[in-house]
Amino acid sequence: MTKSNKNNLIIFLISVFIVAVVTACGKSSETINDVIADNTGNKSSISDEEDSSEIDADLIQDEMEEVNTISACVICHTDKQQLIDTAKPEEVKESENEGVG
Amino acid sequence: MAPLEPWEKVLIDSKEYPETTHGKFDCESCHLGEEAEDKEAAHNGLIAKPSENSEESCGACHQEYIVPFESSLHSTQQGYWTNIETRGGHDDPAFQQMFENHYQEYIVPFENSLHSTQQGYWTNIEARGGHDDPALQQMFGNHCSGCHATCGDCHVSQPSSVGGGFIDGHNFNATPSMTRNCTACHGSRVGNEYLGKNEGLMGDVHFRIARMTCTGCHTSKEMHDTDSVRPVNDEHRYESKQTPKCENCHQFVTLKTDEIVMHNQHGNKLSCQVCHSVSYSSCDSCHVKLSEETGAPMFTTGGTYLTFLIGRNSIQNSERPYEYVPVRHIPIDSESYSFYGEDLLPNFDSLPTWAYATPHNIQRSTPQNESCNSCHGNADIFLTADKVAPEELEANKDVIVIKVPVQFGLDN
Repeated sequence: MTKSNKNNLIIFLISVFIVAVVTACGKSSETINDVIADNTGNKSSISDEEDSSEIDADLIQDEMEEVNTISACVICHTDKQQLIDTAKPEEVKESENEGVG
Repeated sequence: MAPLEPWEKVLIDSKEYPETTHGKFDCESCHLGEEAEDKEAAHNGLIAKPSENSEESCGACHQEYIVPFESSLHSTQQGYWTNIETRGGHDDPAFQQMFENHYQEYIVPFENSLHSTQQGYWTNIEARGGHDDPALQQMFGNHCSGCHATCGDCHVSQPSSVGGGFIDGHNFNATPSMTRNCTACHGSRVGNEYLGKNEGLMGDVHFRIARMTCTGCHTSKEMHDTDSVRPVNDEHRYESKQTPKCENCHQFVTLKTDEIVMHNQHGNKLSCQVCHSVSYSSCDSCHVKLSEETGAPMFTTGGTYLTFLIGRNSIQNSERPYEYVPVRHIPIDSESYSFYGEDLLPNFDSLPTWAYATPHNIQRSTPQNESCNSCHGNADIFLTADKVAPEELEANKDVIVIKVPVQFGLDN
């Protein structure tokens, strides 16, 4: 490869690198903006008729319900007194077996 | 073992369990049920024991264990069926009628709750072109299938046969508890022998001295059958490859290079337990039926007693080449299942009632290995015909010792 071709190649690679960096930053910015838009309801895809505060409340309510659903089983089954209080009465039956089983 | 209180059976460890791998799943992902604070609503559609359908529950992550385990003896209980089928195997239209009468009441829930055991039996019987016996199926479902082991019965809870319930707050224990899992089912013989609970007898040296639990010999690979040493749909625990084997650890015994002269002298003629076991439990006449008062399954046993008797090995094969082995009387008789029908065991004599035994009460020194003549010429410790009930002589013809090994020092 001649010296001038080599220099051209280097310049080309540097240019590609710069373009890539600029493009990535741009995308990050867009992503962050999208997130901000989601949280504030300012994203263009959201209908103007929707109230952003209602959307926030719905999101929060869904999260709370999800937490409550997961813990309903565990809340009961880690509470010894509740298990005692809700246990089905056990009928103690005398074994009719005779001898060693 | 004392049963757990109802709350103890279902109390989850609030600190440890949520931090475990299984604890990070939603409860409903295995147990179904509904998301509700009310107990009745929450338990609607609940699956209390997801591992009874291990393929769908545990198999999602543990395929390498589930696939081989489903054909293992703990899952299929095929060993029992092998003996029942060998002694029984009788086609009778009366059984068919009984099957039709009781199908909905007994067989349907049984099939649904213990899918592996039930299907395994039908597959084997149909494949061999053998005999259907609905009466024996009904009997088995009522009295025997309680010891069918699911993943949960070893790794999460006590077995159903002792009332169930969490062992460790729903934590999944990779190694089952010896006393709350293994001997919960294997208690009256193996458990008592191993732990030294038979009066006047010490526990097995592997427990007493070496402090080994069951899993010291009976490995995960054996239990799950993941090492494929047993054939698929194994017939009986003494049929295929001998595992575990004393020689796995005591390697020098069979090489005839150890310092024990008797090892070299007897070679493979004797199983290890002939010299190193002590008295163990034998039982008589177990009869099963349903209670007249409650309809619940029940049994009566004729008797349980300690014996040490050496018999001939009726199942000699390359894995078990011994001529003599300890034998234990098992509580089967020709009328054991008579509650469920007449003559259900027409081939009763096809299997011995003094069965090949591997007592779990090994000792270094025993009465019979004190000297050569502690065994040789000592008819008391051999299963001779006079020790066998007359009605069982035919069944035990391959086990009875006709000529006791000669005493040393006498002119032959």
